[in-house]
Amino acid sequence: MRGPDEKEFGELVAGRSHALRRTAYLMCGDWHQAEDLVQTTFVKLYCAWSKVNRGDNLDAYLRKTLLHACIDEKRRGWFRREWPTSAPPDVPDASAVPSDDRDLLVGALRRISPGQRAVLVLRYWEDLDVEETARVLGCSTGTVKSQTARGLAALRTVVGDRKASDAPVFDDVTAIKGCS
Amino acid sequence: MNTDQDWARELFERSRQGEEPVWFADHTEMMRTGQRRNRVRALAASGSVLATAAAVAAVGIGVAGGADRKAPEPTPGQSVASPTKTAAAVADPSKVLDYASFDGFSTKDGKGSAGGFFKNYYIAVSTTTARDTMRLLSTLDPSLEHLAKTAPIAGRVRLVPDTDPMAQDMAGLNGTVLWTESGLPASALQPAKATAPYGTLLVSYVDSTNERPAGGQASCVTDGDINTDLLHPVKTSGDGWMDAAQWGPCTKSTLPDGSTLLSSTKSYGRFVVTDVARRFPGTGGEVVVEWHNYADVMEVPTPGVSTAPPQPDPQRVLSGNPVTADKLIAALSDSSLTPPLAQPSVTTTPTTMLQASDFGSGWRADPAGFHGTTTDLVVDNGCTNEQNPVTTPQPIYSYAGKTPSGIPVDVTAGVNVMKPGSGPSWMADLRQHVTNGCDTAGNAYSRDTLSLLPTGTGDDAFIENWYGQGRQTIYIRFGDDILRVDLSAMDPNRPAFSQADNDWFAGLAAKAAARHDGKG
Repeated sequence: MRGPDEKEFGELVAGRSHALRRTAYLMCGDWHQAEDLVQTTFVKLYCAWSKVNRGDNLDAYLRKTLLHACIDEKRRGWFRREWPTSAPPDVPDASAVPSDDRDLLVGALRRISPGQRAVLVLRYWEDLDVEETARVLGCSTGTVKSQTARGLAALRTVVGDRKASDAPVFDDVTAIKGCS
Repeated sequence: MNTDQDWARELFERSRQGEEPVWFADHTEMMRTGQRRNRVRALAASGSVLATAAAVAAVGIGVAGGADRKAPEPTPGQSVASPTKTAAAVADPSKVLDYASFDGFSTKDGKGSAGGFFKNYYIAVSTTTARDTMRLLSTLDPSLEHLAKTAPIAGRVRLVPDTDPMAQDMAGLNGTVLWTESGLPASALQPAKATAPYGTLLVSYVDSTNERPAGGQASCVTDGDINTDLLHPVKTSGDGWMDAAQWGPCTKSTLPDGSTLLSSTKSYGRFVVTDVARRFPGTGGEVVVEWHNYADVMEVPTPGVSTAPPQPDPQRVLSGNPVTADKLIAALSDSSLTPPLAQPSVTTTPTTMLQASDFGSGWRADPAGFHGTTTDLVVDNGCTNEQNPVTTPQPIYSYAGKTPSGIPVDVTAGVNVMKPGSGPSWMADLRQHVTNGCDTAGNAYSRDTLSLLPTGTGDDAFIENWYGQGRQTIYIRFGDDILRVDLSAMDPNRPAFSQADNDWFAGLAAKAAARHDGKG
């Protein structure tokens, strides 16, 4: 199985990695984890190079792989609440004033369900239309529309109401029923 | 009217303006990982790529710690006052993470290269390492006024006692310290548009000379390790680069304790790089310090444009060379420095749990593998992630070795003690969720399967096959106690287990049950 040559792959990584990292950051709220996820995504692409239909579909493949890498990361068994010592919170301190709009957005996205989060990130960050979003998530356009509406309402509530920081944080895949 | 959609577009658009940590996506590293090389060591520091040269299972993390937090860019002419130092604070080991970013490491086993390392582990900086680092730094800069303040990456780097299992599992540890002229914090030095000059001290601890220290470039110090920083890069006849600057003579001396001290320097114009190593006698390990008196060129890779090798930024060179080879040699000659990175202690696993010998030859108990307790019974199939509190947390034991087909795996085993009378229902819940994984509206979040185990293996038992995850979980119920054994491939590519491996998993389940019943 032939992999990409270094120049080709290097150009691809250089051209896509930072955009993917921003998307991953919105999904997971942690720059380091986002970098790990992007690396995982490209490693998977490298391994599947001969199977991936490159060209127009490459970005869709990368997005989909990244999304599933996010999901995989959450599937690490019983360790999640058994850190050797106390783990830092995954969300900004609710009492802190967000330093910029991205902090505000990331903090708010952490408080809506992962399914809604994924839809909103793809629609408004990646600027995908409903059909493309449905294709990446593997669900119907109707589901994307309904999840978008619900997600926007939830996001607006969270952003508009600082007390919403008391709302539960969706940090696992329990609520990934984004396409149901 | 401001609809939800308009509002969202505006919010997402505004967030595009936010600052971001510097990051260099190393495609060569991704290719190497893709080629199943058992290393992940993309280390970006000081805005450029540095080699983390630990030989086994080395992992680099992001940008030098702290500098990757929100990074305000200093405006021209801006200065930041140096914090006042007190004599008591100078060599205080507890302050080490204020100055040193421990941004590269390796472990004695393969866990350092496992995916999701920071989900389960952390970089451990032992009390001894902290003390030695602060002694080195305060010898070089007694008031610490030139050292850039930084901050550890939350949760990833921890200052721990020497007895901490993770500290005892470290085989290599690399710290980066930024040397400034004006006391600027590290966060102001590394954004792409920062202009302030700074130097870099790379401090590397390795547990034996089998491990390579970070950075080291001088052949006499590090036996010809790869040079990534070119003071005077010139093109070779091919597509490569070489450094026209040559290393100077090697100095070598022996300290009263038998340690060997090696040093070498290369320079070009105002640029200086110095390596000094102290090799402790026997298997005592090695401490290496590499000094650069300049910041590297910050270069953002551009598609289709050839990237030059890391090299000094002529606009960001310190005045003179404040850290000379003599100063480094003096600092490393300190008789109070100790051989780095303690050896692991031996812990015993109770006879009611799997013993290392149960796994086969070459297996060992892994005291640093994981040392939490079973606080929750986790039910997870990709869509559901329940965490059900146990009544009495029990220790989790770790092991490391290879499966019959040769796949390196780490293993954790622990007992979930559930409420009286609830054991069978919990086992049924696990069984239900494990079977056939989880598929929501055609989106297969998992395709896990269940393998039955023979009747008589505890009160009930099965194995969850984590499809595509390189992982198996054995569940065995004994009344209301549920023994859980997780076997995870260390290779982040998550190789598939063979049939021989699957047979071996079943055999392990039988052994685990026998151990629990006192028949092991």
